[in-house]
Amino acid sequence: MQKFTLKINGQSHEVEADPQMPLLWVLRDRLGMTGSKFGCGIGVCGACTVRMDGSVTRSCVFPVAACTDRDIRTIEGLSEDISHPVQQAWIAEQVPQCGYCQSGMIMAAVALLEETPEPTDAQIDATMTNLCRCGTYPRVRKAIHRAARMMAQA
Amino acid sequence: MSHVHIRPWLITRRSLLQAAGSGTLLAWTLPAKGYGGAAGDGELLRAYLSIEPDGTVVITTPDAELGQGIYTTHALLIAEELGADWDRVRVRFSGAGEVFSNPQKKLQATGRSMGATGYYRLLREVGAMARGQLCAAAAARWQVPAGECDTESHRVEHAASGRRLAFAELVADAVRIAPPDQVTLRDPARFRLIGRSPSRLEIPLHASGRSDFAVDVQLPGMKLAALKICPTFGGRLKSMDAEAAGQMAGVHSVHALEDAVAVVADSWWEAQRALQQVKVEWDDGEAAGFDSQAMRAGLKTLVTDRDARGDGPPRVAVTIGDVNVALADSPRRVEGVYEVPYLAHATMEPMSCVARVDNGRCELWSGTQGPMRARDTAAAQLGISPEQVTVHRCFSGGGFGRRWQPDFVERAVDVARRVPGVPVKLIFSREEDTRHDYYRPAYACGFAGSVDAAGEITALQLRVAGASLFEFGRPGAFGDRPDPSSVSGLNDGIYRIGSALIDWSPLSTPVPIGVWRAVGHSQNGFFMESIIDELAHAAGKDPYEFRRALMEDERRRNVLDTVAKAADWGTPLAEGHGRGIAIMEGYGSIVAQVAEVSVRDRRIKLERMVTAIDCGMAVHPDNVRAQMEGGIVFGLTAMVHGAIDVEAGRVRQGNFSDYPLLQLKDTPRFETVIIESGEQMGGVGEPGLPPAAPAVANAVFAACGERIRALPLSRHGWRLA
Repeated sequence: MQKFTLKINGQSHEVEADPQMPLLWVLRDRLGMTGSKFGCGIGVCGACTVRMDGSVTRSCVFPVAACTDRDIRTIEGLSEDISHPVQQAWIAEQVPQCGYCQSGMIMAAVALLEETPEPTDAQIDATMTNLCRCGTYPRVRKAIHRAARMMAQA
Repeated sequence: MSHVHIRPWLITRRSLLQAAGSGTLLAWTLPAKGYGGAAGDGELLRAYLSIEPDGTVVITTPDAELGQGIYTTHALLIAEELGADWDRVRVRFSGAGEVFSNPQKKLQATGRSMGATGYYRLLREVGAMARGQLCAAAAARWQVPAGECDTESHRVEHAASGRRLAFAELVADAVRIAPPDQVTLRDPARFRLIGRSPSRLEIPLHASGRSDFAVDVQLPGMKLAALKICPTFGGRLKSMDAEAAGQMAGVHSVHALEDAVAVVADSWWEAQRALQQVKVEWDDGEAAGFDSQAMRAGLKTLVTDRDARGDGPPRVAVTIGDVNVALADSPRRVEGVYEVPYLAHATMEPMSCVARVDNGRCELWSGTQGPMRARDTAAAQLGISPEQVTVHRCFSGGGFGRRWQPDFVERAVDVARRVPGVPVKLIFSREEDTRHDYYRPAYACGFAGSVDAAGEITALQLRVAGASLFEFGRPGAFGDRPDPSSVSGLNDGIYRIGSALIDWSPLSTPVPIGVWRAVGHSQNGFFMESIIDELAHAAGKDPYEFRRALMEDERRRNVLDTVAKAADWGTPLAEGHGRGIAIMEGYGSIVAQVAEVSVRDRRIKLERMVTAIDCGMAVHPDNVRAQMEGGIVFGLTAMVHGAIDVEAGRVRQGNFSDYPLLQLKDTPRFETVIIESGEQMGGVGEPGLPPAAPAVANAVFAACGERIRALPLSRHGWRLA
């Protein structure tokens, strides 16, 4: 066990954990931040997606020891009141079904739109590799385009 | 029961629990005399509805929210009759109890696409009863007959005098008035919510990451548990050495269960890590001799060799005339074998449950599809009465039938009882979830059919072979009749057929099997609608026109016509493109789909999926569209990738790396046409799935002339482009 100081959503958190403990479980079981989900544990499904220094990161395979001095962003920090354009677009397009993959899906979409403010369908295809068992994919696509328009007008 | 309005979009189970007992809130508690009889005085109304002092309407859903949107649908039915403002409606999950039984099933169980159809009338009546009380309260204040009052926009109105009172001003009086003995439901012409697709209430929770799934439950003193189950079905734990694991950081305790090892720790990762250090010896048991490849070869034999026998003689579902005579006479004859593998549910949230066992009581937190079943399982396991078990329900991260099984609840209880008083959150690893599912059974279908020059089907002989879903664990339950799920979708009589023999050859196996989205239709839709397409081709007819000419039911034909028109059937396509059509009836709805694909070098691109559904009436049309999209993606995931193999009694696949799902990039364009026929309402969660695979397979045939008879595509030389 070691002590780590993590900067999550702009706030500093002290945690004690094994250096190999993945960020996901530090968030969920040490800090009680359960917005990021466990889906596969091997970095494939993307339910655990967070952003680290802006990059999309699968937190279920990312050790806490590599997280210090990084800017970690989770779904909890996106907005206080669901006002982020991506969240608003998600509601407007009625994207989620069971909802379980959606935190990770939204974090991936936010990162995509910051990198590529007006993504093409091909860019969305290439970037959005998060898995959704309910089949919300067509609405995810629509919501990303809608969020892009909202952000361009803002 | 008390509720609090925390933030307009943020009512979670946790916040409701915290609010309970604060003693400052008013609830709806007086008897609903004479209502329905079954539920007794007021219990029903209390169970489903409360109105807070500020007028916020809190509706209780008895069903699991698995992604099918029932959270919204149930709220909408009550709110419509009540005259509530949609943005002042909140939803909570019920516990387990007979009062929450689906009136059509007499059981509280989420499945069979019956959440809307089963509760439709009940919930409207609940809303109408409460409307009656509010109107009576207002009428008493105004000294007018209650019959002159009505509700709208969260107010009671007296049209003649123009007087209005907000619900919040009437709640205190209304709860002292007995609900009306009889209620009048609103005229559908005046619906403001039903059929209008108001924004779904669960969506802001999901979009903010604040919806509570069982994996998200947090309780004081809670520990996390990880589990390793004997990899061989039916095997047992012989011995374990947990000395090293027990000393690892964060580990609370290690437990030897009958067929598994569990580690309880401060975090799930620490539990899972310690689990790998437990030295285990398994007693594999009889299933160690089971191999799905050999079994599936057996299924093919059962459907091709008329003398071969599985568990017993084939059980006949349909007999019309003499197929042998008709087949012998026909020059236009086709035959072949179709096959599909075992499938896992692969819900995004692995199986999970929180349990606390203490002093003869048990509390559960779970996304179960069967709250009463979970409750009764825990009670039986602990030797306590069901009243001593409290079920707190959470959002379910996908269900598709998997969470109907009580095994994961039972396992959570099994661990929690060993650490009395400690709440234990059990989460299956993805590997355990994949390897200890209740799988969609593997099936084969052998067929021979013939057509005449006019396009009539003169003979259709179908034999399916596979394990019985509903005789699993209770052999022989159906006697000499087929398990209905084994032949569903094959015996609907959609098409006029001159002679037919459709039967099922049962073959039981040690593999746990269970209901999987669209159940028997999930494979039979593929068999039946592909075979019909083969017959159309043999007759030299257009697949749409061939089907249409054989349909005698107007309603079905209308669905087929609608999808053909919406999909531009018959218009020219680019080289290498093809369209395929399929129709299936089930769960009270009729769904037809047209797939458009392009094929090059055995690489398939899914271009477009057009759906027409006649579900009688659509309570929430946008959600119907969402369910069609989801059902298609689920069906096509199985078609393209899905296969579970069992070797020496163990499932080979373990994670999304070897049990892949369709991705966004693979997804076609979707269009859905909803037909409001006014017929009895049907379900929508499942019926979108069955036509998807045959529509695509038929489109591939149209595009390149190759017939797909075995799934998944990835195992048979096909790839997605």
